[in-house]
Amino acid sequence: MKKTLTINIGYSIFNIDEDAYEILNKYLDSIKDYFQKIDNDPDIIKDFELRIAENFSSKVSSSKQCIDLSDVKEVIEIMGSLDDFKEIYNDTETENVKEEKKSNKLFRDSSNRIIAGVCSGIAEYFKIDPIIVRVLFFIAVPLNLIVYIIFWIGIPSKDFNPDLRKILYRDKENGVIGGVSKGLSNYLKIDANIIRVIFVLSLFFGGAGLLFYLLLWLFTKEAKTIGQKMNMSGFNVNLSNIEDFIKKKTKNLNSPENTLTKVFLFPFRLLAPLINAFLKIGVFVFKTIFFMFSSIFIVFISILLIIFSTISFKDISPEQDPEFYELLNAVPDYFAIFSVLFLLLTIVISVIISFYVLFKKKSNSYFFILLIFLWIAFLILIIISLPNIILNMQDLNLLPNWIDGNYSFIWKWDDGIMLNKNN
Amino acid sequence: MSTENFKIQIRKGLLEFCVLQIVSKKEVYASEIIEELKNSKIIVVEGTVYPLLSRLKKSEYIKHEWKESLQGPPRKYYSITDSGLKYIEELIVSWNDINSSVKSLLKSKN
Repeated sequence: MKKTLTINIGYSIFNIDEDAYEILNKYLDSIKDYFQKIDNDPDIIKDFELRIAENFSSKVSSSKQCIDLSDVKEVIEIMGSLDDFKEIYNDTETENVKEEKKSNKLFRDSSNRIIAGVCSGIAEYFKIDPIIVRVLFFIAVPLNLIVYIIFWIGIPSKDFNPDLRKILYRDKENGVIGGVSKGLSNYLKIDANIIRVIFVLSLFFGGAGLLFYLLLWLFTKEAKTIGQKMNMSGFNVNLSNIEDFIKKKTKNLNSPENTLTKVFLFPFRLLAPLINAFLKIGVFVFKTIFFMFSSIFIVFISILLIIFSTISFKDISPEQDPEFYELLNAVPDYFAIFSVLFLLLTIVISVIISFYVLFKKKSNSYFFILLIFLWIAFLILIIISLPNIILNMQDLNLLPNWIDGNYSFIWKWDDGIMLNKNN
Repeated sequence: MSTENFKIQIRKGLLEFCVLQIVSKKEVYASEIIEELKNSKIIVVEGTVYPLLSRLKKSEYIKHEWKESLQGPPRKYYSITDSGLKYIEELIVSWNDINSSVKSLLKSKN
């Protein structure tokens, strides 16, 4: 039994096996990418898809209703792979590629992002793997935060085609603990065991390898779909590659390991479930602590907000409480409004971040950016207006008394919060 | 220089000429063009025709219109334009020139 998808290609509808779909999708993406380079005409790919649909419709019948992998392979054979096109159009391609290189600009990568695609965009610009940039950014705390936000605001985003890039994934299926070594081996085309030995050896020399391993684990995704599995070894869609991939998939399962590898990997195979369980507990503990801290923080800010808003918008006559009246007058209305809004925003932003960390629930990113923007704006306004207010208070001789502890705020049931003189 | 490379170069050079030739005879849709080219072994894979058709369309040598089809979705039928006809006449002249000079070269060699 296989899962199938329904696709609409060339105005026709087909049922297609999931694995066949992934290959077809990759194929079409690579073709689209190429055709765009030689001639930016959307009709080309439309006609191309129409022809594929024609081919598909000859492959389905009432007894065989689904397009499978071999059908897709046949169609790719008929339509031709990238190599075939390059043969015919190599002259025009080189011209256009040159033009494209000239206009190489830095974009945020919206197709392969964790937060805003800054790292991935930089990686695309320098044609390196995003993981390298991400790790560098992670190490460079806290400077990176400022740089990241500046890049986030200053650089427009663009949808790169992730299917045509080699990306570092974790290969958990063939891995021992987290699949990091196997993923690296796919990426670098080095035997996985060599990388494993290096990681193990590094444990005896200060453990930098362990840190590196954990960082890679944290920053890479696991290759789950066929597409990702192809990407992790720098897959280029042509016929022989597809065949290789399918063969490899079936072969890999049966390939025996030699005894040396078995002996070497044995302790790690034993450890693997332990480490995985440990990690799960670690994540759970982290989430619990995070939840506690974030809720305390949010409650704290909320209390602050309630106190502040009741104080600053209180109607009070000078006769009732002259000292408090003066203090209130020293704080201008605009400052009170800024502060209240600032606190409100802080609460909303903390709630959004907490939800994201705890439940992986993303809110609308543009909305979030807007909130952050406003938050920073209010922070700046408050910082700018604060010195004036303090000076003003000093002039009124309010500040020393107040700070000395001669005065305190107390809660009265009939009047709410009042300034009280300590005796 | 292998014979394979030679074939590719020749095919590449003649592809546009052949497509125009096919379109000039009658109104055809993309798949018919492809069938004919495949039968005469001008192309090996089908996909290579599409960028070419787009290029010819942009140079206004051919035009297309959508027509309902009895089987399946509507089809795009290509036909030649006046400037396309002029262009192909020029191409035929130069093809005949080249053809005859290559032939005479081959003869003189013998």
